[in-house]
Amino acid sequence: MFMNSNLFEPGKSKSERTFVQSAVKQNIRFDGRKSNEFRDVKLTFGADWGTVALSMGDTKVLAQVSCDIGTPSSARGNEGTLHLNVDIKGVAFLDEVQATHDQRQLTLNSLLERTFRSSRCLDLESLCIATEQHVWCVRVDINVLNHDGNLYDASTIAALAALMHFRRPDVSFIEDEIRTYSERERELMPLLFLHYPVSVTYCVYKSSTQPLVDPTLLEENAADSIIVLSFNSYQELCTLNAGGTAPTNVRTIMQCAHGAARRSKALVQFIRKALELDAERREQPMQVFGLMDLLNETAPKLSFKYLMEEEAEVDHTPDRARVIEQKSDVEPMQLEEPVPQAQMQTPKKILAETTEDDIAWLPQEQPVDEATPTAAKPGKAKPNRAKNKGGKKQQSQTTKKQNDSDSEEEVTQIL
Amino acid sequence: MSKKAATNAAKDKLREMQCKFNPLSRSDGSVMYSQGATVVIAAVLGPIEVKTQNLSIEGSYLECNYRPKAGLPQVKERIREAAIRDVLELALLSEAYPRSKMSLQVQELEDRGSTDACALNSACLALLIGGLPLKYSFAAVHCIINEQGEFVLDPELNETLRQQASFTFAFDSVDGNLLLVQTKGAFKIAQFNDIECICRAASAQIFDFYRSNLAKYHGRSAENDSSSTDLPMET
Amino acid sequence: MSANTSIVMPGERVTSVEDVAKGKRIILGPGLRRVDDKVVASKAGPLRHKEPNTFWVDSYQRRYVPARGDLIIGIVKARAGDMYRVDIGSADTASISYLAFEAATKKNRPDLNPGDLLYARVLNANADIEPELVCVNSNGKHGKLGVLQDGFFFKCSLNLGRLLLRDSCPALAAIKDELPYEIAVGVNGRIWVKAHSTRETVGLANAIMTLEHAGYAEIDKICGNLGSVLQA
Repeated sequence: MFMNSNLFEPGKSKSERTFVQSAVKQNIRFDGRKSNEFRDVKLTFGADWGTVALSMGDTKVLAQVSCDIGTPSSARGNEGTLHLNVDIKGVAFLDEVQATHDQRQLTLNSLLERTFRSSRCLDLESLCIATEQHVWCVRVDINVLNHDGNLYDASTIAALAALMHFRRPDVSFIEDEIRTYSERERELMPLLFLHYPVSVTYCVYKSSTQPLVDPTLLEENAADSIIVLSFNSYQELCTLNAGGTAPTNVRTIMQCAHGAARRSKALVQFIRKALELDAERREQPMQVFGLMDLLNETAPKLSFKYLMEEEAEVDHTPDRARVIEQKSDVEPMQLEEPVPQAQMQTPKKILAETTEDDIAWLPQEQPVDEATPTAAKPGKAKPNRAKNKGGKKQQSQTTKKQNDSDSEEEVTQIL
Repeated sequence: MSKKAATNAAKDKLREMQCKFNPLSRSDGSVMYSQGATVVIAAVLGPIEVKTQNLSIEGSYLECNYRPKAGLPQVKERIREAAIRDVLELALLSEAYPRSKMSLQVQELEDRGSTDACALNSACLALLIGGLPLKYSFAAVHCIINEQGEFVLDPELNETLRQQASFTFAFDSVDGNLLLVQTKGAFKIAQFNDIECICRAASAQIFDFYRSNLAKYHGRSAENDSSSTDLPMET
Repeated sequence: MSANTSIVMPGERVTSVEDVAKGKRIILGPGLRRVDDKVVASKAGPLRHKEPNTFWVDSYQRRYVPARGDLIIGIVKARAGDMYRVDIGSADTASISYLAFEAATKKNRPDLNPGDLLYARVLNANADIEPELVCVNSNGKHGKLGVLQDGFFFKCSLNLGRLLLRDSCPALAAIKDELPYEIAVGVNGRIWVKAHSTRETVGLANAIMTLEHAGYAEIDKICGNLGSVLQA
């Protein structure tokens, strides 16, 4: 039997592929976006804590966070657990073709695991109730509703927003007895974060040096390789996932990394703003509407373009100086962020390069970027993050680059 | 106090229904359906290719899945799936497409009471919009007897916490026959009959809702289109 | 009967058709079926009528069900013996014989590879067997059928495909005034377009896709605007 996909997947025919390649070459995208332009992100919070529906163009994702009390693993007895689960089988009908889509689910799951779990973005120790006996087990369920490309970003943003939205009940552990307080007795507690990671996806084509950000399904299916970078709001790299067949040079990857770092920061800010607005709405005495808002045309849409209007404008101006201005504006807004020396360095370096054009400053910029975590290490007393940053992740990043770079010279330059 | 009065008044009424057709671009037919604060999405594919082990030359194979928003499907969801499948098997004109499969997926978005009925109603709308051949359409209504012994039609989640008995009925649109009866709890047969009458009356309202919304979708008005023409068209 | 607001629902008896059937033979199209001596709808949508005696129910169905004589666009999936497997968006993959091309012989086989687009006609369609395609007409000539080279290809609703194929459809004529292009419309809801430059093709594809969301009434209005869209 020839298993028919039954679902039309754009980008599977030869003419589509060649056409996308030639369109990319001429810097044309089907929806009229520029190569570095994102689709609008819309969030809708549910009536329950930790429910988020996200839409990015036609890509739609539902994330739900739940928690219950369980036993910790023997290795880490004083930490709660975080479990991530992606489901693409439901209304998205992505399981019709067995082999490739299972692959899709696996990649997506592993990306989320690395972005949220391996980067230790949650303060798991705060989820401990009694060491080696009882801990909170947090579970994130991501249900893909519709796939129109870039499930990676959609799921990481939805998962982060859901985690940030989630509230767990307070508990006390007295004389071997757990007491869970209802919402009336004690206020629910938000989860504690160490940092806020989100991913940004780029598609690389053999015909063009310019990668496309936030690909649609057509662009994704026709792409030669896909690069997914997760950055947190401190502009530190959490995950790098590169694969495919297009030879990618270091410059391209660094260019992606810069764009991604800036984007991630804006996204986290956007989620914060959306959460604030949601909290305001919840305080109003009338009933909470929840996901009914999806049906309601007049309901306020928490959209990226709308909430981040000013930022977006600044972001798109080629004028570097203004970007820096904006950056320093934004810094105090970040929650209790100790401004590390590295952060100070970054704008300064950019300032120095202001006169040069985009491409010229990129490779030189890159040592600074590499230095960020190392410089931050002694400065900040956050062993978790520093350990993670300085350790395996960075190594894998460099090796990846080594593999992907096509000239020896450039490699030595980094090392 | 006014809120309480409002809920009292609504005991014999269905909550407000809303729906949106084809919110999902991939499936053959999809609908986002809400009844009160309960929101579900249903999507159908069909007729599509069937696995050899499910192949039937008499009619199409029907696949139903219900997905909760948190956690993996458990026994509760399986029961719900089975109920949906039973009704669908009665309503679908499966001999029209032999050697094929019809697939229905229901995704829960917000569970605020009468989810069984919502899932069934959304399934019916999805089949209608997906153009699958049906013998008749169907509507499901949920009703409970609360601790005061009152009947509450289409209850909110908080009203169901202390219920004596709950009922879910599904009716067909042609003869008004019962397609599904689900009961839980203790009740008298007279109460059962009363509630069946109430639910039957309410199902007429749901059929009207189907008809008016589908008619609206087929003769889409100008205001609807003005929004869709705003699609990015610049090249 | 074809008013936009009045629709039939599955299971409903359609007496207006029965009345006509008393006088003459009638053809029941999709969405209508005969039960004993009654005519009953099986789909929801407005009832349509074409002179002299054809009735059907209109619906925004997206799944293609093959019918003999339909022109469709398929994607070649695989070779299988002396056949190609072609995905046409229906429940079964269709097959097309090596010999169903112009001037093809046992020795001179057409060179098709997986991923190629094929504009073909449905030769055989039945619920119980898999559909069969041909790329030649009864004279053995390929006509407009065959492999579609270059260009761009996208999916739309079945409705839009049929709409574009109507003689009276103003959309294609309106676009014609703006730029030269080639188009192949498959009634399985797939459209292939090609214009001189990539930019023009993208504009063309987007212009056609905007028609998707329009009701019948708005098509004229949108077609008027197509020109300005394509200028961009």
